[in-house]
Amino acid sequence: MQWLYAHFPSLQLDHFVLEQAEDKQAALVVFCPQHNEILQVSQCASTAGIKRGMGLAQACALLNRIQLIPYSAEVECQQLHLLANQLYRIASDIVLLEPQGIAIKLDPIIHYYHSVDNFVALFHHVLQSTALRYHFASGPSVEAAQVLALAGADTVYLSNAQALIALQNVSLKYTQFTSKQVSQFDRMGIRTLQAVFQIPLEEVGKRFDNALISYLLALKGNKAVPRATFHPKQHFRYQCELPYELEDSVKLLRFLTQPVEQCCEYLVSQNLTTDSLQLTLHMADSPKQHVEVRAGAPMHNAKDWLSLITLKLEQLALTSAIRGFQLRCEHTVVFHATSEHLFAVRFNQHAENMLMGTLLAKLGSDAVITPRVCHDHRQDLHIRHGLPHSGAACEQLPSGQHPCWLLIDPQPLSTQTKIVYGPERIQTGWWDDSAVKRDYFIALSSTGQRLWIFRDHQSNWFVHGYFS
Amino acid sequence: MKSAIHTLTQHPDIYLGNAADAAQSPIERLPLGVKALDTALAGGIPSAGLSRIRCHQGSGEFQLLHPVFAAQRNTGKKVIWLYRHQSINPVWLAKHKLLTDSWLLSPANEQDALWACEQCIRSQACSLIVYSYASLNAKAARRLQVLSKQYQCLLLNIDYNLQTFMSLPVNVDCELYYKDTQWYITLHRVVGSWPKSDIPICNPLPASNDAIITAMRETQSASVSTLTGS
Amino acid sequence: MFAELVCQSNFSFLEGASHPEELVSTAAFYGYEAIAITDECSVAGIVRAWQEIQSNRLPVKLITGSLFTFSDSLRIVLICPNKRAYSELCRIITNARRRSAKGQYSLAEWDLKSIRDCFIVWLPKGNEHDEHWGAWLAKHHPKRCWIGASRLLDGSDHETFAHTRKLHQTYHFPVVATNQTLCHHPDRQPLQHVLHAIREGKKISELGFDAMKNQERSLKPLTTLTRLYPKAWIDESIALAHQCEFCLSELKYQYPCELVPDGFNATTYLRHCVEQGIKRRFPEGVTDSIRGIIEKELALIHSEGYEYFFLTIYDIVQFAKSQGILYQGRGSAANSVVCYCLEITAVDPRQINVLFERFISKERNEPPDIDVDFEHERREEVIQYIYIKYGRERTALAATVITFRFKSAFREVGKVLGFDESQLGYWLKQINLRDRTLGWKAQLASLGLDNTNKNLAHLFSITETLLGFPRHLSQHVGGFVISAGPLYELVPVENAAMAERTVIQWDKDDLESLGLLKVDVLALGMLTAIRKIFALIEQRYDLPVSIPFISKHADDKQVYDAICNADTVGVFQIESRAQMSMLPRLRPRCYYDLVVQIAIVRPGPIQGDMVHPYLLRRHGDMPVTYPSEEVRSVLSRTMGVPIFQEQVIQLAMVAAGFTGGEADQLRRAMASWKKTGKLLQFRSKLIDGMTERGYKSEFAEQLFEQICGFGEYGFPESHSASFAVLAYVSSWLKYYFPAEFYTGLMNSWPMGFYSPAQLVKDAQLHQIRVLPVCINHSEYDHSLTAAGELRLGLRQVKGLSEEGARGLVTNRPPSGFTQLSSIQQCGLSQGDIAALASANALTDISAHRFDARWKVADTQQSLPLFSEESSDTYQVSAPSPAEDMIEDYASLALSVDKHPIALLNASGKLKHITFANQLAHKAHKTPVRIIGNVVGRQAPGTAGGVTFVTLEDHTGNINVIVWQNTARAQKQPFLSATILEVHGILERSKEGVCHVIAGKLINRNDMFSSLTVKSRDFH
Repeated sequence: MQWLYAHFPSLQLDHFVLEQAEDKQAALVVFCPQHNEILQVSQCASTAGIKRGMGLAQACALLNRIQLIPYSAEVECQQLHLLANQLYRIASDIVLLEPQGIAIKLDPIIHYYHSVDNFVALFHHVLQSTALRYHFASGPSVEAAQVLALAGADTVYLSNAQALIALQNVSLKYTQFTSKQVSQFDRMGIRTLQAVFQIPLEEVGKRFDNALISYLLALKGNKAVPRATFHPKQHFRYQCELPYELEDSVKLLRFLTQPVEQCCEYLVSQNLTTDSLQLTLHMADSPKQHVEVRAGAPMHNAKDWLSLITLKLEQLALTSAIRGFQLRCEHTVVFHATSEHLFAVRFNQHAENMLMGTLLAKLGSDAVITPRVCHDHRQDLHIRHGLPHSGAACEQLPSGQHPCWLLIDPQPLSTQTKIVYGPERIQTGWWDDSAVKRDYFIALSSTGQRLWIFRDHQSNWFVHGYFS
Repeated sequence: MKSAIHTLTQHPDIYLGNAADAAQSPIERLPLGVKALDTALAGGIPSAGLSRIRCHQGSGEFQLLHPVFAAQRNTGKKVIWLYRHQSINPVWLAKHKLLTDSWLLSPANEQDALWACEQCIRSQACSLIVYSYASLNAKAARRLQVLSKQYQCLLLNIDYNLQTFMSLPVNVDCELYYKDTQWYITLHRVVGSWPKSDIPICNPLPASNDAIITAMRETQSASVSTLTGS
Repeated sequence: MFAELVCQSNFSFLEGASHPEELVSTAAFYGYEAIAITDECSVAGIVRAWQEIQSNRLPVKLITGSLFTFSDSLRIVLICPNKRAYSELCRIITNARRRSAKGQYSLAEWDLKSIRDCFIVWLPKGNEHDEHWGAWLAKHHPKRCWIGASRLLDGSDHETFAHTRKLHQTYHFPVVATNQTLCHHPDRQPLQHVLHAIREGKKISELGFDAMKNQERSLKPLTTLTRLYPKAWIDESIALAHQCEFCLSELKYQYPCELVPDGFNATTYLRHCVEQGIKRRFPEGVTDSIRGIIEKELALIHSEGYEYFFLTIYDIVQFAKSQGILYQGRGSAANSVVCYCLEITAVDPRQINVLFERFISKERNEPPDIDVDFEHERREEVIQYIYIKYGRERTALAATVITFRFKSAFREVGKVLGFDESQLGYWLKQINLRDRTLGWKAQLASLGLDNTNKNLAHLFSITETLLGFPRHLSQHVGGFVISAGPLYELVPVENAAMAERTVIQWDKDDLESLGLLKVDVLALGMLTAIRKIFALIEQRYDLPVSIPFISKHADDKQVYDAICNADTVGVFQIESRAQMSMLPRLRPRCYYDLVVQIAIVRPGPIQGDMVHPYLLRRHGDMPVTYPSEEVRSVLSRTMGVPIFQEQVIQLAMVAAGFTGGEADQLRRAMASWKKTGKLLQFRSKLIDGMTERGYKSEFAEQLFEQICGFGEYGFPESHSASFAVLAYVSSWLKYYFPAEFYTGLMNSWPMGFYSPAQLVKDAQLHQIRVLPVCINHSEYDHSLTAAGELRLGLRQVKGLSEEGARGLVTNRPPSGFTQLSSIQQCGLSQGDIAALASANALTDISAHRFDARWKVADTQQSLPLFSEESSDTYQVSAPSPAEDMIEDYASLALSVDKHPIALLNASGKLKHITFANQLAHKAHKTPVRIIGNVVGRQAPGTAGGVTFVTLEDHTGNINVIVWQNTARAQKQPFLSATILEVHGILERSKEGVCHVIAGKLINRNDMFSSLTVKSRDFH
């Protein structure tokens, strides 16, 4: 039985260089924030002598303009999943070994591709397109292949025997032994796998735990450890090319009813529900338009979705004629039936969600605001800049007088007024670029209106709100 | 069994035909807490239907309607604020404990505003709608009045443009104004009572420097005594 | 006029944003009548404010007080009108602090009830609790209570005014205006926000409503105050201030009286002790000159009233003598005949012609300063003795104020401003604080940070102001305050971080400015080593050796010869690399030369480049000249070159016309130069003073450079004199009893400059055989065999627990261990035995260390059931010499018989390499190739970027000089090599000191992949 293992030593770094790094030749380093230790080194940094396992201070001393990226296992797992998706097209049995390894079972593929070399060539082609640095090796079991790949063998062994021979003189630090076990072996003068293999198993049993023994057996290929294979995530996707180009977005509804119903059936069959559908319109002579239809709460009956979609389409401005569309439903969540009484609060909750959904669809999300107190003395800050979640919602309330009407932008004071209350001085915000120094007053206008006015540090006067 | 049917009759989608008027005997009203005004309003503002107040912005009208807002707190339903270019201050809402129940809508045009108002009434998810987008014309007013009565929802139209005045078929239509240091209310139209004009009310300021001024002035004269006293 | 009664300095840690000095000087500038410094449950900042007013004669009265919050419903400030009130306040603070852990306090209602004299300024909260507390205060303290009202323009002023008026009418407490000040100037608001955020552990933008809304809580000019507050409230504050007459100078110090036995008073008892001392110290009787000096000293002590001070120290020293704890007195007052007679110091006055005239100088009114060093392992006994003798109520440690240094300030401010932590850490690593040419801001700018970015500008400016701010109080290393009455009458006492240690709230500068005395009980590692060496000598030769015994055989020629050719590894104070290269040049021949030698190789003299002229004058290559007569009296002993701190200060007085007080300020500024940078103000005063009096300006410049160099390591002559005694004693012991010397030294490690590996190497160079650790022969400590060989002790094994080792030694059978199982029955843990195996200590049981480790790992063996059948079918292969040596370094951090370079040489890998012992035969300026383990890298700030690397090969140590650009060009080998090959030029000074100027550096780590050699880098 044969396994092909690919090891990606600097997955996060290569991906970063590929996707975000402006200057590809920069000296980039991925470091582990807990131990301040270098994990992955870019080409330019390694030429300057920076190596894996070196301290951050030493690395900085060697090359002082290195760019630091904190290591994150999730990023690497995501990359691994993307890679697995790409490999899923050319191989069936894929095993993911988080965070940097992929193993492919060769036996079922051989009779499909008639020989190992064809598959391996295709395998290299796919990996080269991703521009990620990797080592690979084959072996009787996943563990054996992994050790050889980590050791950088980079060869596909035709027979298991050859692989075992190659395995002999691999140093212990490439195996999955714990660091404690490796140091214990080291202090006994045992530094290669060959020496470990020579020790009779019961002697090893006396000195180490059985996890190590089962790992040794797996390495030799006598015992196969069961592994869970990889399957891509499920989500609904419907692609449709229109018979003729459509000018008016509302007419699209006719073509959308059938896919929406299909999607709802899919959701119901999987006992899932969703609160957003993604519609991508393929235009005749302009780039694709993405439309997201969001509902107040997860729903799964077709009629509701269609009514929301109609509202959305009504105010959709088309850049050019529609030639086709794709409907996708990605974020699905498990549906558990709520069992309340028909007319009670549930009715109210549902009504509320429906109302929010319709208002959002019709008026647009920036016209419908659920008000929150921004945790900052400069109350007008988040209204003017519309920062939705800038400060954390807080129950604490600021001291001082606050009007009910606020002008989005304070207007210069034109009418004649008499001050009745104040001053109330706000002088803060020096740390961001909207520093404020204002003296607030309450003033009465001739018609009895109570205005909220303030004098800024150049002592000109503004109206900022009304005390209704 | 009887109670189940009773709740059924309350449900707005059930049409009771002409039996409706009989079931609805006295109009439920919300008092404003000002004796002279409440008697003039025959008990207060009807808790369902459309009412209108006209005044300059910042005349303490929300302060006057405070009891009405307080009544909405425990209904568990939403309070909708519809306005054009200014904004309702979240801190004011929080101080009056309306923050969690309120939604602020600022539609792009008046047609959307009326549509939104209607949606809110029909959804029965709202107990109070404060509409201060613009003045209402008669047709829109009558439509909203019928709808809000049918769906048991209170709609208050706060109208800040005082130039044109035309009466509207609403429950209460009043005007708040300030004449030589005294506040007055004129009731142009009250359902179930006669219109009355120039009712004087006291409209206190939210805060004032009086305490500070008196302290500065008062200790001026008494300052000599404290020095010798202690 | 106005009196600010509620004002917190930055001694309310992480809240106040101004120094006490800044607050009082601004108050004086605004023409306030008085200002009260009222930190939260603390009077730590009072003395600095008082000192500022005294030294600059500010026209403002300082009121002492403190702020308290009680169950967050009552906020009051206690003001002290008189001395009794002050003692009462100290008692309340002490009780509140002692009830809770360090840094917190918990007030009890009883404390507030027990107030008799303090005035109370109540700061009402404006909520329902005020009725309760109003009634309570009216009931308990009707006549001494005021209401503090403030107008902070934060939107609640109108309520506060109304509320205050109501309280005034119901309880008739007079009302006082106050700003509840936190800053001396409105611009300190950003810094206050930063401190607040650091305290909460949040970012500034997350502070929200808790942050100070505006800048009103700062000192204001009188015009603004009269606009804001009613006149009556301002006048009331002045009325209250008039009633406070307490001043800190009233605090006097009563000494513990039980020291003097009845029938004596202090002076007579002191004379009695001195007489006894004379019999012991001068058995052959006292010469008239010395008798005269003793009388003069006693008279001066009597006139200044310091008898109790000497008696306290005498008592402590007698206790140490009775317990056999070695001790050593030092300090300006220590070098006097009286102290020699009281056996406080071991410096025989005849040797150093009595530096008496600086003993206690009247016009400098500086309290006498005597520090006593004890063995660092037995100092705790002395401290507990003091606590037991005087009782916890009457003695406590002085405090030290831990302030924000650059690194902590930069990191905290950056974190709070939202910078990412690893980014800050990265920037900090780029800044070299010792680089005197480029400031830290310039260095950061050169890193490519654009300083137009607003956030960075804030980071720089706030960090700059935050430097020197107090962070928290911690305990002084050994300064004790002992008083007759309960200490908390004098100063509040609080808990220190260490268990059952108590600390007063003032630091040593505060104590000095108030003229209060403190006794320093310090620890010195060398004393422990010397005592252990004496014990070993006693045990082997039965010779009663002691410090006076050795100091009698002073100026032994052979000992000084050994010192002159720098054979001083392990000797106290003169063992460092810099000293070793200076000894052959200075060639000290007598005790006073040692005193100079110790003081000269320090940043002070080096920076003022006084070293070179002294060398020339000593060898007679330069005539000894003095710029003037007065200078001659000061510098006669050091041939006209100022080296000691006292000399520099005396020069300032004599040559630059400083008064006694100014000289004292100069001395104090020198001590805290790094923290506060106050020294620069004295520059112009010193230089102008000297040029006026006809001295050459560049001599003045040199002198000032030397003063800056002294900085915190200013080295007074008296301290150097005491250290010289120990230096001579340790080099004498090294010369006459080398084996005992090395054993004693290694048994009191960690101390000194060298690691055990280097000490062992030096011992072997002195023909002392060193035997490896052995399970059957080693004690826990290193020991000496009858034949004078040094047997390594079990303490050297890494990973072996102490109780495991001691257990092994105690139940070791007389015939020794023969079976592995017998060792396992000694109760050693698996890890302990494995450590012993790897350290090759089980040679008697197993063939080699790998086999030992293999057997030890067999857990089944130790289970009783399987103990008989030991069918070991598998044999582990023996280690090669290289592996053996690597295991030695890994398990013992030293190798007794093997050295990496020796192994490399034996295996023929080293071509045309010169070794350390062959360097002496090479000609000056010849190119050489050397190789060795890197055991030390030093880049002293004064060396202008040069790094001194010490390479150790199997024949000795080699000093390598690496210029800055050579290091920068070859960073990789320079920084990461443990085995380094250097191609460079040999340079030998005429006294025979060899250095190699490095050219090419080659990293030879690959020769031994896993060798772990510890290097002492950049200390």
